[in-house]
Amino acid sequence: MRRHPLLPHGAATAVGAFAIWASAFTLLYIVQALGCRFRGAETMLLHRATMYGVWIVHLVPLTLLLIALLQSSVPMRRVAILGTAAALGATAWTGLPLFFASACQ
Amino acid sequence: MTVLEPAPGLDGELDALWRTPHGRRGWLSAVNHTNLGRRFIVTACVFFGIGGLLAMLIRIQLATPANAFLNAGLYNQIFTLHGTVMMFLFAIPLFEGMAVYLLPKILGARDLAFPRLTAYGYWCYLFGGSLVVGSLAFGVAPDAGWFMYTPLSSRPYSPGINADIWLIGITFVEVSAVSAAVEIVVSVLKVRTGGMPLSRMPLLAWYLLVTAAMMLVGFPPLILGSILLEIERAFGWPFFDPTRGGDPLLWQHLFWLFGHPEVYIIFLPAAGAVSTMIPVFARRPILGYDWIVVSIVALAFLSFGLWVHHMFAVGIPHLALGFFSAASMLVAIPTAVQIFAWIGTLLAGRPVLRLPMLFVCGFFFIFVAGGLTGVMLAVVPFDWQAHDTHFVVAHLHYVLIGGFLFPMMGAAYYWLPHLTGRMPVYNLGTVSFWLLFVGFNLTFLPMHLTGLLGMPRRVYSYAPDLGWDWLNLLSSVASFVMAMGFALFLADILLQRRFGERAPADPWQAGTLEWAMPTPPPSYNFASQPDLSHPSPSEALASEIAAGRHFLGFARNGWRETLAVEAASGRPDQVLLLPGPTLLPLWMGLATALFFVPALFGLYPLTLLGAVLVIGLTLAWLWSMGSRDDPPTVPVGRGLSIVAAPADRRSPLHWGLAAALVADGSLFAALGFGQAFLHLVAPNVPADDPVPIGAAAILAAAGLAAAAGAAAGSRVSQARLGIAAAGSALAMAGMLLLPLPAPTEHAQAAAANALAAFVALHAGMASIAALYSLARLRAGYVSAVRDLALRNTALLAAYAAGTGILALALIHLLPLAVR
Amino acid sequence: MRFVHGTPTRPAAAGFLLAPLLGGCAGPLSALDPAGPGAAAIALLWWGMLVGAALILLGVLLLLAHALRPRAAPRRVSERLMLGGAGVLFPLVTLTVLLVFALRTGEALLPHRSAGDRPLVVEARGQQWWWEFVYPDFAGAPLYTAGTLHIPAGRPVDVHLSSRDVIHGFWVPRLAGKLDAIPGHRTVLRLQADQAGTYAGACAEFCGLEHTRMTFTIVAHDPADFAERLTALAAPPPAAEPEVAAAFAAGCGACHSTDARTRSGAGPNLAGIGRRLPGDLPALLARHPVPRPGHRMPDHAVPDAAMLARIAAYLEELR
Repeated sequence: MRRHPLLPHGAATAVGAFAIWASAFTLLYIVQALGCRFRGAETMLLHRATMYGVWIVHLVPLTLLLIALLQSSVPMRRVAILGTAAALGATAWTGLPLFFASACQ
Repeated sequence: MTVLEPAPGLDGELDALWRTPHGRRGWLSAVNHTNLGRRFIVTACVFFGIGGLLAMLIRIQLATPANAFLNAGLYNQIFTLHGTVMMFLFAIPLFEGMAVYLLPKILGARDLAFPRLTAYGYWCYLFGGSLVVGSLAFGVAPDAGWFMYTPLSSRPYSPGINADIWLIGITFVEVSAVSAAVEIVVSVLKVRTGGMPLSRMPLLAWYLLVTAAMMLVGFPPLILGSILLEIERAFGWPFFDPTRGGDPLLWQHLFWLFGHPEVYIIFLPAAGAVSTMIPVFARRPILGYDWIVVSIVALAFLSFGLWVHHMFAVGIPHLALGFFSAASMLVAIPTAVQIFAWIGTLLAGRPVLRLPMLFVCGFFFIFVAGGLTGVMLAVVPFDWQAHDTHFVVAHLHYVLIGGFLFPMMGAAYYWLPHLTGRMPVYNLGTVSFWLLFVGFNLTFLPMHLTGLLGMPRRVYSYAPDLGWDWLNLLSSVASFVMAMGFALFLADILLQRRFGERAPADPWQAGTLEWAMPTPPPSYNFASQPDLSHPSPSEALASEIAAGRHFLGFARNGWRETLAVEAASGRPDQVLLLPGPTLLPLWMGLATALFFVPALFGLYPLTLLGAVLVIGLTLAWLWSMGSRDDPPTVPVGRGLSIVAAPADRRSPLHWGLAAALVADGSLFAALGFGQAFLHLVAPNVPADDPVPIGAAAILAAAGLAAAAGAAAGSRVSQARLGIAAAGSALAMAGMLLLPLPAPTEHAQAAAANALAAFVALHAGMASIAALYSLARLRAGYVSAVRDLALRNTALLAAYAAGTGILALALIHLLPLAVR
Repeated sequence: MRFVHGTPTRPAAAGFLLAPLLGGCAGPLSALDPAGPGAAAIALLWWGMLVGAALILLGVLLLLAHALRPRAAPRRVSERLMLGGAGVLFPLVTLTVLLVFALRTGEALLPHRSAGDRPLVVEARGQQWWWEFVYPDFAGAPLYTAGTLHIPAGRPVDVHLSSRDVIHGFWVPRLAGKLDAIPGHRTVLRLQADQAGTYAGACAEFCGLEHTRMTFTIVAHDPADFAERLTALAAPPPAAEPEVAAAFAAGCGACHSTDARTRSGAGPNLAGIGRRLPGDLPALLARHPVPRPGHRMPDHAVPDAAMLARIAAYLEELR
């Protein structure tokens, strides 16, 4: 396995992976708040769809990162892999309420 | 037995360099981390005693229904101060003390990166803490609860000085927390011994690194909130006043954005102590080092996504609560990973039950129980019932006492032989443990039920017919058992110092670096800094260190030398030359006090004088560093020669500025959040028209761009610094001249003014930095290889420009976008 | 239908065993003694979580005890099983179940405006340190009461919360969870009492000096009684003797109304106080001018003891 040319140190990768989770979390919260602020009957679907979009858009890079890590070597590789997997799981889990909770009440 | 005493000649020479002078002046000028660490710990314990006495008063008052022991006003001061003292003056400073004392020792270093900053942090803590606690003696202690909800803490409903004491005193103390955080982050990353890569750093160092990084991001929102609330109280800028477009919930967001990470900031160092002790007493390495590192990082991030779980009952939409509920539950997983890593380590090893382990076992029971009630509180509907009741009081004491105090007491018994050079008087500690354990559980376990039976928190009295009588009486009686446990613990420590047997070398057979030195530790820690580049250091490492056979095993040139390394690989990249004892931090602390304290009484000219003094002393402080000669390359032993005190991007000062700007950026982000919140979320009537983009804004933007552009790059030139200084000054003028509406009219106007003031302040700082660098250049401190001053100026100018452009957008464009 | 396994006896046996335990859970403010669907759903959640948490705690402690047993040789422990299994997978599964259940429960407790509900709308305005209740639309005009909120039993009630000064927390533990009343905001709490009765309420959010005493009562009436009670409140208050009326107007009347149809001034509306505090009034007025410590009563001429007693007797008639 070769040292990946782009990926940084494993600890930094784990931090970066969780930064993606933080982005997902923050954007979901922001879109939820803004959607309720500028809500109309015709935008309700759009509001929810945007949130699903934000959620999925964040799952993609984490998945790609995990695949890249599994195929290459970086310092503290296990930390990088575990951290990315954890961030991926956390991002997936954070989206769960989308399926069960009303957006503006 | 291993010989840890260094060769007499070497010991004398190193000690002469590193020791803190005797006498009062020596005490006041100490910068040595061992002294300061002890001082932080002792001061924190004194505040703990005060907080504990306040708790006793609370429990006496609540022991029986309709008790007339305390009146409502006094009770409110007491519970407010109890929470404030325990959180801000005990838990965080105790962790700081532990980090200051231990960090260089576990990293194989001789001191922290910025010894004078450590001392300054201590003075801020001491002065600010004394201010907050001293207010009780005058009957003007804060009384609006330790989270100071507005509008209760605003001028109309808290007209006295009480709330100002909290806001100003705690901000003063937070200066200390932020400086400790900068210190710890830079020290862990840079100031280690040779051959310790990140991947083989002691777990405790990981815990402290992440905790300090969390403090950099987590404390500024509180600092900002306190500043805004104090401005509202003093000058009528209505950030939180609903009658003028403000929103009380903005305070809650800012407070808990700090407040929840704070809980993990308190827990993580204690978990680090557990991760240190368990492998020692299990007689095997920790299970799952990598898993634990990932857990720490995960906790650090997730803990910033929980804050709204303190606000489940304020009417926020269910989906938003759902996100925070999900994150709050999720945080249980990295915690569980650590719990099972510890149990797994014990399971795989051959554990011996020594006194520290007893406290660790108590920690397991209490902390796991508290974690489980934490998951319950993360469940939104359950929280609607349990929120603001004694159930929450019980839960938070389970996690804080279980998750912090018990491991820290175990850690105290574990490291006391290091501090005192003596062994504990065993049986007293055991008795103390059982008193504490039984007393704690009998105090707080019933309190869960008291809460579910309907007892709200912060009530000073209750009627006899509510079913709470015997539960409260039990809690009160048991709390005294707990108090006896603490008293016995204190007695034990005093006895140990006085009568304990001399501790043998490495008394727990830990084999870790902090024990590879004589105890109590010499002023310089290591006679030579261990070379760890071979994965398994030799058995005789400690005696080799003592004999001076590793790095820097000598004294030369009157230098206080310690190694600094490349952050990731741990290869030595420079020798740091650390400052010796000085009164500068004390003067700086007093100047900071002059900045804060007169503001309590509205004496703003004195505050201004304090600010001028702080700036002047900062420049004097910085001026005292550096050299007019290019840094020499010096031998450090083991056949290695590296550069001494390079004044370039490798310098810890550069890292320190970057860390400080992370904290400052978090403050700015919180302010930007406030501006956005007031425009987008708060249920207010918007202010009048958006502010048009005018000449002042363009001037400010252009000035910022010019300053940042001129300062960027590393080519040394007087002209560039001149342009940077002038550009920043222009930007400052532009921000001050923005045609903003009066800040007292509307919360949105107040936020816009605050943003402009923020940028003006930072542009001013960049301007001063550029002028300072110009002076340094002329005085011969700066050259192509000594470009630290320029780099730091460039960083500051770029930061001012970045935040300035964002602030202009938030001031001018956000209101347009909302329309 | 026949139960082959004899299950019908089990709940009875369990009930018998739990009775003393649950008996200890009764109380006027007990969230564990629910009297409405909201509180009941949350209590159920609590008991489930309590059992689960107790089992987990027990499991962890047993494992710890096992780990601490002395042994001769070290043991092999699978990192994957211990950390991946017990540390990640087990909590992940448990928490997912809990999160889904929690969100569904929470969703059901929200004040949705669905077809069948027809909730009654009332307002509760918090202020230091009492609650004003408004029935916005009773027979075409609003009614005001203080300290006691009347609701019909068996029908959902949406309490619209607001505050005149600081943040207060509206909490009737036997009926529903709590919700804050925040100045500048309007929040809505759905609650329902299954049976007619009296339910105690408290202020949950610390609101200053007399936070402790900011209590109130919800009286749930059978529907017919409810209409009757509000009609009685909507009637003009009984006339007082002229001297009493004059003394009342000179002092108390500046802040307190005695008529539920008009909004009180700075102080609580006294309509219905004779029913709310029977027997307490003479003693309360004797402590004039501060009937409760901390309450802010402006300076005014205080009638002599005899007149205070007559005023108290008059207030007793406001029922």
